[in-house]
Amino acid sequence: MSYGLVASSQLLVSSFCFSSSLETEATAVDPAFNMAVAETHWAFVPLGKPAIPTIDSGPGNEVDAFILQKLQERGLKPNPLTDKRSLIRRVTYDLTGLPPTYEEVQSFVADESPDAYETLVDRLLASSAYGERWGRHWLDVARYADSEGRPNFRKGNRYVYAHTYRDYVIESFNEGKLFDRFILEQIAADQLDLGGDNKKLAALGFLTLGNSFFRRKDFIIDDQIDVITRGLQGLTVSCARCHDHKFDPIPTKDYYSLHGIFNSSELPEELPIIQYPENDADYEAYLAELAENQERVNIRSEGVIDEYLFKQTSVAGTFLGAIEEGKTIESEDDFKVFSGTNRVGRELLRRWIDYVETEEARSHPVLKDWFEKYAESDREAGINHYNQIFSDALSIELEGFESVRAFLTEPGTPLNPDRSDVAVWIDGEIRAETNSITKGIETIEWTHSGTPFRAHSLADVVEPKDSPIYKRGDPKNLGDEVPRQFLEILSGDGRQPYTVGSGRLGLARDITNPNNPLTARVFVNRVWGWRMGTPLVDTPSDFGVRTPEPVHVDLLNWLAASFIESGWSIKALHKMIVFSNTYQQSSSPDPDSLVADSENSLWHHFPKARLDFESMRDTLLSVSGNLDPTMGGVQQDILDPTSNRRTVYSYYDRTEPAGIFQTFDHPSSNASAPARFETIVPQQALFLMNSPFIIRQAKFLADRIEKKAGDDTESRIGEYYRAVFQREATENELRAAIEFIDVLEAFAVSEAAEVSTISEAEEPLTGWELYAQTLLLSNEFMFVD
Amino acid sequence: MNYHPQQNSVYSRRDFLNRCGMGFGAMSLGSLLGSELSGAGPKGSSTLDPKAPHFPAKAKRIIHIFANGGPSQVDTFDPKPLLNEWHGKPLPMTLKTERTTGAAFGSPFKFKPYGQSGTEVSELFSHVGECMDDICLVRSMHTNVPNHEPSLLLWNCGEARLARPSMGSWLTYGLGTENQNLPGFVAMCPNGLPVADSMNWQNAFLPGIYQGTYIDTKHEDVEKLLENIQNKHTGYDKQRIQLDLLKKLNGYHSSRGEDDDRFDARIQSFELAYRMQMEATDAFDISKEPKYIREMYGEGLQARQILIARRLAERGVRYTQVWTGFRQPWDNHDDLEIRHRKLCEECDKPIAALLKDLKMRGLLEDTLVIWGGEFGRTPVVELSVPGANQGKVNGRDHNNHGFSMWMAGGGVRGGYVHGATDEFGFAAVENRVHIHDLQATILHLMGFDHEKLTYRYAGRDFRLTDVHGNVVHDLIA
Repeated sequence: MSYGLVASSQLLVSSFCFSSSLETEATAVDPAFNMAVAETHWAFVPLGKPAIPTIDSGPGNEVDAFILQKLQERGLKPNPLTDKRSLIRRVTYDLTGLPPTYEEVQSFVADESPDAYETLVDRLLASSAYGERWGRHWLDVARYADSEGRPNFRKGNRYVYAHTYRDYVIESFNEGKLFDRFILEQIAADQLDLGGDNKKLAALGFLTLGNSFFRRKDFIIDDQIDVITRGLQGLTVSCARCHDHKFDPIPTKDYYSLHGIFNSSELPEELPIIQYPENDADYEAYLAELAENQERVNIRSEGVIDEYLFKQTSVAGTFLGAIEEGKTIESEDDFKVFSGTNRVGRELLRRWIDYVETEEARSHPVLKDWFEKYAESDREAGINHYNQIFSDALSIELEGFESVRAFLTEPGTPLNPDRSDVAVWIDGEIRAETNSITKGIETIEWTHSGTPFRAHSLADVVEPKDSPIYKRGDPKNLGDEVPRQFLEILSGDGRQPYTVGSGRLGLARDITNPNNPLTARVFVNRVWGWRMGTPLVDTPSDFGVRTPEPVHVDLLNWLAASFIESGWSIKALHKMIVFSNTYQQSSSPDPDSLVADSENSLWHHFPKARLDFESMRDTLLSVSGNLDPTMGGVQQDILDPTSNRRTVYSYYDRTEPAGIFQTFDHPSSNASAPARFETIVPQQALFLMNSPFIIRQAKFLADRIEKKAGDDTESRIGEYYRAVFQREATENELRAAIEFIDVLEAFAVSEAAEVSTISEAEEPLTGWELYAQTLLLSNEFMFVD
Repeated sequence: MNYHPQQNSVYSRRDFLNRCGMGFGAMSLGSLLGSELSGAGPKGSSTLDPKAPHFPAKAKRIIHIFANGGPSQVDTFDPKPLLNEWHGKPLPMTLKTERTTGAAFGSPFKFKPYGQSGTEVSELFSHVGECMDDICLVRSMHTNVPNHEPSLLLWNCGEARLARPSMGSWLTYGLGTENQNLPGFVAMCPNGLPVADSMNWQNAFLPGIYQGTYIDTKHEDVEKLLENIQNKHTGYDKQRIQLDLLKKLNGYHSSRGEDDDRFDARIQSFELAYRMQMEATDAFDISKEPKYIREMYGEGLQARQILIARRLAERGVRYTQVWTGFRQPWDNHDDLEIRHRKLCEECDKPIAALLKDLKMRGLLEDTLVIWGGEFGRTPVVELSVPGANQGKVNGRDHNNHGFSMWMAGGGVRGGYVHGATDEFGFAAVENRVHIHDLQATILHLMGFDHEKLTYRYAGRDFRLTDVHGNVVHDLIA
């Protein structure tokens, strides 16, 4: 019979490889790629700053010159500039994720000064809402979530302090942190001079808030390599875990060079406190509650150990009998079976076995009878006898068991092991027994107002070391060690192994080196995509050799080079784009241009944007007057319909995200997200038609308008349009609204007479509340021109 | 079986329901199979529109009854008389499983042959036994490890540890769904989630709309079954007036020369949502079934959710998963005889009823019904270890080396038994079928080449079967 058992190592390999690679060993084959050829790939060549095309471009900035050049090559022209109302809506959503107010629109439309737009952009970039909007974009790349991935036995599932990373990101955007510094901090904040401000340690959440993969280090490292290489370098280095990359110039040894860096880094024993609660008494109360729970854990753990020793002591006879029986025990498995069958502790059985072989045991007054009277001739009675006397000895009220009791405490006898050893043997039982208390500790950390904020930090191990290559990804099949160093394709000839600590700081410096051909290209492409609907390179996290040179490679290079020249200023990069005419053009496509370029890949019009999930929910809160502008802090429950904070502050569970996130295309946080999907499905409509959240916003909006506009129907409708769309209502819209209110009033009368088809379990909405809700469902609400 | 008076009307109703779903055409922005499936970028305009698979499919939809926890093959579908002869004695062979095991543990259940095929089935499944001529039984399944979580994920997602799309997600991605008024992929599990939670029906890197919609069937109230399915404040008639206003306002908006495919798609989505409110309420309401149908399925939670599964399949839901229950009900390390008996008392009759019901409606031919767990159980007894199984020695450990599964309908070979375990029922030895092979076969029945139903993500083309899987052609009629 052949059973063909599958070794666990093979499983590991299979997840990452293409079939053909299974027959070969990574280190033994020629690379699938040619390094010299790869070096000429458009994304890997050194970044130069292309000349700005000299074309008859009219007004506009450098970005427009590149865009116009390609449009003209195809005989196309860009759209005219959009109207000022559309422009302020567009740029306000783009930079803050929120709509402008009616007053802001009015004053911008009225401002005819030449720098009106610039003033607007500066105001928006300086607003704190900017960081909340652009920080959220970055959190998609950082595969941010507030939980580990799945509950584990020891503690709960939450990353209680994940919000400190989220807030670090938001603050970084708001304070205009330069992008190279932003990266340095996220990879190696623990190794930078932070000027005494340890709050920045929270930056390391970029590496430490991924899926915890049941605490499997190699999986965590793979996730860290993935978020850094796809997120920052546009390279799929994880593909090289088991074999050289199939297409890109990433040999397996480069993967394990990075592996060594992260294997030489670890979570600190205790996450560092970066902010204490404002109220000392709160903090004291928190500490007291924690201490109380810890004490309960300790007491229960000691109790479990006592119970274990008690039980094992009362079967002393079984031990002795078992050893007598077990003279044939040979293999480890048999030993397990044996100790399992007899329900005796494995480790204690070992101690008994060792002990009974000693001279001391055979002559010991307590055990003498066993060897002389029972072991050979009357074993069953002996087992019972010894179980009895050891059990009785444990009952302190019984007298006459002094010698047995002495045996239990004599040094070297089997039943007085070190309690700390016992704690290790029965770790699982202790954990199971203390589970509910340790979960309570997480609840305290999660909910107590006195919980200090901690950074999900990372630290170097004491003795950093290089990793060997895992042949075919198998940690049991080790190859040569490789030095901790950067990727060959991005290093040129002067590659040097990292010598300081784990090498994380060296890695961060190599990524932010102005000569790195990918860092700036990848980031400016993301920014373009987040803003312009489509990125220049349509695979934002994969710039590898299978990604063809984009049509606008010169624009990409020019933006990237200018970005570096600006000192990696993200706000300067924003301005390069939003000040272009390309950005300011109208979103109504010209039919001829659409025929020639239906995908708008050359940007002959500005693509209308559907609000993403955060912008949609935040806008609903904003127009209803409910939006709470408080920034930062602990995660909010998005399922609570009365939660009024911006959506970026919501708790996001990696494994069980609230359904609404998925309904509205929020990306999965299992890995760095290249971009968001945009789907239109009935579940989205159901949320907007029926959820308690939307009902609440509709009621507040109606109430707000009623207070502002009074009873006059037309002035109310006008106020609705100003509040929701920042414009005046048209004749048609007025008429439709009046008609609707009339119909509903008539309906209410007839409804009073007969029972509706479906039970309105809660108070029905008024006609105006239903009207308010309808505006919130409209396409004009959901799309930005 | 042509006696059923409603057969014709059921057919026409189904066609009608299918047509309801076709209004979503506005969203199919060039979603041609092949081009989209072989590597849509992150900006995919993926929809749930019905799509054609690679080749004509035998099965159009799946009802997957997941006996989570791991049912014992030697007590259900894989009789081993020799095991009973060895009862109480150590077997001459042993294999490593999760826990410590001891001597042979003969099955306490009686087997007898059923149907023309004469396949032997245990008394636990006497009702299902009557359907053996429609069932394709695989007695030679094997999977990688004897642990729940990785085995569940391997079964559902083709990968034991990393986040990968589930089979239901792949199929709705590849085929869309026949009825836009209902979710295309439904996972029902009463009283809470199974082990590995919603990872079992995750979409992973596929768009969120392909994720399974979880339904806790302990609720009988439809509003608790589907999020936001009902409005507590506004009746349907008033909502209709509201949506008419919405249509009008959206019309003004579109007429301002700002047309966009997405505008119309969104208008349609509200109409679909409006209908979904009623359709979903209807689909989950088994009181609308005639009495004799309800009696056929019997009483209890399993009966109810299996009958709901039929109502969903009938309405065009692409993939309906019916889990036995919270965590791992079939995981009988102790008291196997009592517990297996109880589980089967609850599910045997309804499963058989499902097969008969589908057949008389003419739905069995293109509905694939799958039954099984994430692995099987050992033919040897599990020994008691401190800290586990309360000192009882009357259950079986997990067994990944060999176990049974069956399929019915959907183009499989009825009355056929594939493969075999060794003489004690420990490991699959003849015509072994790995989980990846089963997945390849299921995809084949649904019209897909499992190597070509791919999605490009993070620089490579992913597929359900990873780098494995061979279609088991013997299972196909």
